[in-house]
Amino acid sequence: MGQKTKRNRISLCLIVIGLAAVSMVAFAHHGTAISYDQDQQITLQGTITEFVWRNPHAQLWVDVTEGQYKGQNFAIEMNSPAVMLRWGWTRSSMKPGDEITVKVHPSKTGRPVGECLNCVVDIKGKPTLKPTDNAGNQ
Amino acid sequence: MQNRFARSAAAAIFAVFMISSLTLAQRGAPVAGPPHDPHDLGGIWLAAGGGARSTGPQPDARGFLTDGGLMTEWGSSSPLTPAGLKAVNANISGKGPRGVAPVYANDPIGDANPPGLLRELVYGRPFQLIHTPDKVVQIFEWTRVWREIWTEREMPQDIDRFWGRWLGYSVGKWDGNTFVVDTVGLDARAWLDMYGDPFSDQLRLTERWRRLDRDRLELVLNINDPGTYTKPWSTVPKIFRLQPKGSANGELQEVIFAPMDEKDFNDKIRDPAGKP
Repeated sequence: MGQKTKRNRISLCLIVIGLAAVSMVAFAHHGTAISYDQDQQITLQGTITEFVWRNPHAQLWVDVTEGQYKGQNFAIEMNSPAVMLRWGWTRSSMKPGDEITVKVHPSKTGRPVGECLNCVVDIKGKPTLKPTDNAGNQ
Repeated sequence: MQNRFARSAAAAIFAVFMISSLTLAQRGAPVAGPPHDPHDLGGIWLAAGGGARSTGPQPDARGFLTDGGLMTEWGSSSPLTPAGLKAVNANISGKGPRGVAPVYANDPIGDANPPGLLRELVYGRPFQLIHTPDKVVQIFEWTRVWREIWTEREMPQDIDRFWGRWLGYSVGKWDGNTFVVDTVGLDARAWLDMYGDPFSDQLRLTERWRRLDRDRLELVLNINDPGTYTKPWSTVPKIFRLQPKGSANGELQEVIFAPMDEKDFNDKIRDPAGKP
C-alpha cells in the first residue's frame, strides 16, 4: 500500500470520528429531534400566519403554497428565543404575511409539523435570516 | 512533497503541544497565559463543545456498558444496583440511547418541572459564578435559578433537614487551587442527565472546580450514590470557557419555562410531531 493511500485512509478515519462526535453533540441537544426525520429535509414555501416567540422553542406557522403540504397550515419548531436572540433575531424578525422559503426536517408521522433549529429563512423582500455561531447549545 | 512533510511535521508538533498542555493542566502545573487568580472563579462560563464524553468502553445501543454501568452525559458510570436498573427502566427520555418520541416520554422537564442541579451543570447554557464573603452564588441561565455554595461553614451532621431540594444544599472549601463542593439533599425525581440516567436520595455529590487558566474552568464530579451505583464513580472532566463582557454569551438571558408556554408547545408542536 502506498504512503498516499495510507494517509488518505487515516484522514478518512479522522473525518469519520469527527463527524460521529459532531452528530452525537447535535443529537444530544435537539429538543424533540427523535420525532423528526433527521435524514430528510423538505423545502416549504408559503405565507407566515404566526410567529410565536416563546420558550421552550419558538414556533413558526406557515400557510403552505407549494408542494406536498400545499393548502395546509404547517407548524415549525425553531430554536429557543434566548439562542435566536444571540443570533440577532427578535420577535419582529418575521411577521404574519411575510412570504418565506424554509427547509425543515418533517415529522416522522407525516403530520404538518417540522423542525428547523439552526434555521435559514428566506423572506421575500427582506434579508435572509441565518443563525450565527456565537450562541451556546440550544 | 516537501510541503506535505512540512504540514505533517507542523501537525505533529501541534498535537504534542496540545497533549503536553492538557497533561500539565491536569497535574495542576502552571499553564502559560494571561494572569489570573486561581481562587477567583467569578465570571460567566459556557461549556466548551458538547457534553462530556468518555473515551473508554463503548456502550451498547441502549447506553449500557458491559460491566452493567451506563454511558451517561457525564461519562461512564460504575455498575448499577438492582434499584438503579429499575430506575433506569422507569425513566423514559425523549433523548439519548433509550430515547422515544417526547410525547411518550416522562421527562420531568417536559411539563416545565425543574431540571435539578446535575442537568443544570451538564446542559450547554451559560452560568455565572459570583463570590461573596460567605458563599459562592451560581446563577444558571437555563430556567433562571441560582444556588448558594456556603464557604464559611462545615456540612451539618443532620443533613435530613436539607432533603428534597432541586439544587441541593452545598458547602465549598478550597483544596489547594481546587474548589471542592459537597452537596446533599438532591431530589431524586430529577435526573442525572437528559438521557434519563438516574440517581437516588442517597446521592452525596462532590464537585471539584479548577481554573486551568484565565479562560478555562474544569469540573469533575464524584457520584457517591449506593442506592443507584455499586461504587462511587468520577465523571470525565467538563471544560467551561470564560465568556467576555460584551460577547454574545457575556450576559445571561431570561430563560424561564412557564407551564402555560410548555403546554402550548406540547399541544401544538411536540405531541403532533411524535404521535400519528
